[in-house]
Amino acid sequence: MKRGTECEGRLRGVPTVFCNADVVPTDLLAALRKHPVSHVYISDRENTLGYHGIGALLQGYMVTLDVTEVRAEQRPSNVSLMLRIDGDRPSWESVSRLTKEDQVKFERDREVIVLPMTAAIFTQPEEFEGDIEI
Amino acid sequence: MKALIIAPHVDDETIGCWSVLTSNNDVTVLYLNNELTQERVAEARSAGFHLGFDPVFGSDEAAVALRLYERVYVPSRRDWHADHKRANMQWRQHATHFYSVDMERGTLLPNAADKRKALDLLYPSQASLWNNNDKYWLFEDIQEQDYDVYRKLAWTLPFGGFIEVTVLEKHATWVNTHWRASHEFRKELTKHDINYLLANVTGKVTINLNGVIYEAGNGM
Repeated sequence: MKRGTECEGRLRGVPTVFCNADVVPTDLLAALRKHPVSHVYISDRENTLGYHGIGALLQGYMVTLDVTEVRAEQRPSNVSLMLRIDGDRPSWESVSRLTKEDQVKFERDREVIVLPMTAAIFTQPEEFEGDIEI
Repeated sequence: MKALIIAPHVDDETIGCWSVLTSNNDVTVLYLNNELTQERVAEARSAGFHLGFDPVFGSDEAAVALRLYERVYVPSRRDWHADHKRANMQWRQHATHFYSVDMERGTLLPNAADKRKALDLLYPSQASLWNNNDKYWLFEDIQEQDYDVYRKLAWTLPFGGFIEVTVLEKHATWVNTHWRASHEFRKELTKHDINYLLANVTGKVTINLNGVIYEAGNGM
């Protein structure tokens, strides 16, 4: 676990506790009692944490989950996802479940590019209709 | 409660003092003479109408009757923006609270979604700020002081000598009750005792044990 300042994406500059999913809940809660921050970044690449549960556990904090898949599960307002693009993950189903509060992350050798979903431009299949063959 | 918010820029009052604006207070916002274009003035008047505060434009104490206000919210000295630091220097003598838009000590707002809607509606000229960083609408950072307050606690030791512990004020009660009580100072203080203290408090910690100084990070 580390304490620092978020330097990725839409919460840059916010004091943050960074941890892995396996320290939730006991060690994480103990750390938060000692280190007052407003944002918790949890690396959960195995996608083990339930959104509702982590949101309730960390009520009063903004939580970013670093994941490789997105479940069809309602998320509380204090939980947003950082979907990591890595090899053949994530699935299309995961990408389609992202909301405007989420972000997409590309990383190599600690160089990171984060794209907020608010910048996404969506196209539906029917919009491809109407072209004329020439 | 009558409250005055000192705003270096139009939108600082909403970003920094959302809970003040939405808590049935009688609020006046004094906008200082920074970046006051026609567009920004119009946004300020619109915000005042929609959020129920009185917008006033001016650069010094002559613009408002300070004695009328029970609470005065001033930008924190911690904010990085030069206009905020300047406002802090000019107005801090009147402040009851300090707000920061940098959110280093921010707390998550329960009605953050409403704050976001208000910002989008009232300040379209500034939307790129919170479109690219959620902290401006998710959090609020209002403190009663904008600097760290330290307490020095001191005891004589039963086995001879003395100890002084200097910690952030928020830890003083824990040190004075829990740490002191748990060790009771019946035996000589050990490295474990000191490290237990250092593990449970944050910020700069100084221990003076019989004239020998220990600081956090320089253990026994």
